[in-house]
Amino acid sequence: MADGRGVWVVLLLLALAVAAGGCSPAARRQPPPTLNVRGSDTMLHLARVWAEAYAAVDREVQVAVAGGGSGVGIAGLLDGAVDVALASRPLSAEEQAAAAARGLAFSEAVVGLDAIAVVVHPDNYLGDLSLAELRSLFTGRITRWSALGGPNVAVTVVSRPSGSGTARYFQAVVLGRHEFTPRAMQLPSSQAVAEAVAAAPGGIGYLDLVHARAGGDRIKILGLALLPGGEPVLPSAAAVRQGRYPLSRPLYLYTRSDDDRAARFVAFARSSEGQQLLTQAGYIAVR
Amino acid sequence: MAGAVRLAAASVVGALGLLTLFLLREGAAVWVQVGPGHFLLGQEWAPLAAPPRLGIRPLLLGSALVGALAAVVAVGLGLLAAIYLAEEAPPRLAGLAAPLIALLAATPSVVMGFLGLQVVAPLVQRLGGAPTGQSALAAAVVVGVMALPTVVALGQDALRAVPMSLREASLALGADRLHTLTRAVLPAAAPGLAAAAVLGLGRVVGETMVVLMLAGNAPQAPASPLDPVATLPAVIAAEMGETVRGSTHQAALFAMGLVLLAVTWALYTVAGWLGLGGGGQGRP
Repeated sequence: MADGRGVWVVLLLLALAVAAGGCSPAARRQPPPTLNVRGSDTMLHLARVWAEAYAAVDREVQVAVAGGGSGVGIAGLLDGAVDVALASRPLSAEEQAAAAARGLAFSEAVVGLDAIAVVVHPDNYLGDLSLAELRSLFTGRITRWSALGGPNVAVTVVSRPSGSGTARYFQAVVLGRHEFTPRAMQLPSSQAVAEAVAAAPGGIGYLDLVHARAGGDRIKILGLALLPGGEPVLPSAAAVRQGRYPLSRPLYLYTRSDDDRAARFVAFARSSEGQQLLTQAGYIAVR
Repeated sequence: MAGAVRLAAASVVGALGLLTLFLLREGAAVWVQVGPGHFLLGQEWAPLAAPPRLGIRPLLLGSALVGALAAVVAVGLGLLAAIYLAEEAPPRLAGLAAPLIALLAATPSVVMGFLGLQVVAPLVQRLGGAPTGQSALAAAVVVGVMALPTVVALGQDALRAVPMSLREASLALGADRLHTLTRAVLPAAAPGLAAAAVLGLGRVVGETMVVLMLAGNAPQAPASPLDPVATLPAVIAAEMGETVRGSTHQAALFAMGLVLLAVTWALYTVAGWLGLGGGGQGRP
């Protein structure tokens, strides 16, 4: 009886060995190649939506999506670790120089528009600010809300770290040559900014419109006026497309120019299906 | 056999040496171009300003503040707990506590950070009046709790190493238990307890995740424990991904790594002097 079982075990092992030997390397299924999509936290949700739909379009690749900030995505594209960089700002001069030094050519595609919303705690009864007032708040020149006719509480400035495309855009457009106050908290995500402003009665922060709207009534979105005394405009798809809202920007996908697989993903993002998904996800379509 | 052992020992020293050389080389641009004085004592950390300002003084102060506050929590609570578990607690209770303390040591720091964000930060906001609760104090409380197991375990070892005859002699002379503890046992265990405290501090200085999640990350010289601060490891972690390879910003982050390494070494060396030995019995 014991012997009989031993024979069966030997036969099973032999069968397994034959089966394994029969699989020549060529016949073995290769795992699908991975398309690494990484960068802007603003675009992270959008990229995940696209990646899910893209699985039905191109079964040959597996799309891996990660955040970290526009700078992280572009740095990865330079090093070859990323195939499609999500960027909420154009390439900086240093990044262009780094690409040139490595002999790389990048393709740039605008795939959508975004508004950066300025948000405060709902208890703050100010409804709008001018860009000049915004600059005074974020450079730390104004430290109490009462200086702007608001409640008598200290200003808590909530910002993003330097790797964030949103932070770079905000600095370029609102602060100009000036720097963020060192008192500004540099929080890792749009979500964290919303949470911090919702918690701090004197809080002010900036984040993409999708996340700002997701914050509901725990944060308040301010209208912005380009010039002091000007007409304040609330962020909306219409205001962004008409160019009336001062803090709106294009969203980019960067790829290596010689990468066809990545180019197909970009083409899908720009297709009518891709743009429809973008609108459904709360972003603003280019057209 | 002896050769293999010697080789293994040499590889540890070699790894440490290579690590130092690597950090020195990658950070060289900063030590040369910015200079140690401007780098270590510079008032402003604004790596993307034009021109970049690469002073890490606010980050050193942030690290020092979080470290000091966490040490108060870890050493204060930890040594008292160690004294109780080693001297007073019934053996069964002490036996029950040991695996629980190990479990606390094994809790992933991101979980501790999440707990801190949900519980400690709101508490600091309500009780202390910090605007969002994310502050040096909130980070320090959580990091201090994370360092507790190190202090408790090493502190217990130090107390158990005190010979029983010392206690018996003290009691035989008519001293009560409190007197025996404070006058006989604690002085005998003092070097080991101090080493436990310093090694606990070593655990605190390098903690990254919790600080990144809880300290508020504002690169300012803190004026109070309720201010948001940025620390060396948190800034390295937050900014390393985006730096362009070969840039001064990246070199500055490597140079910060070297500073952090030096501080940690200094702490372990002090622990070694104090008696317990950072290398021998030390559990980081």
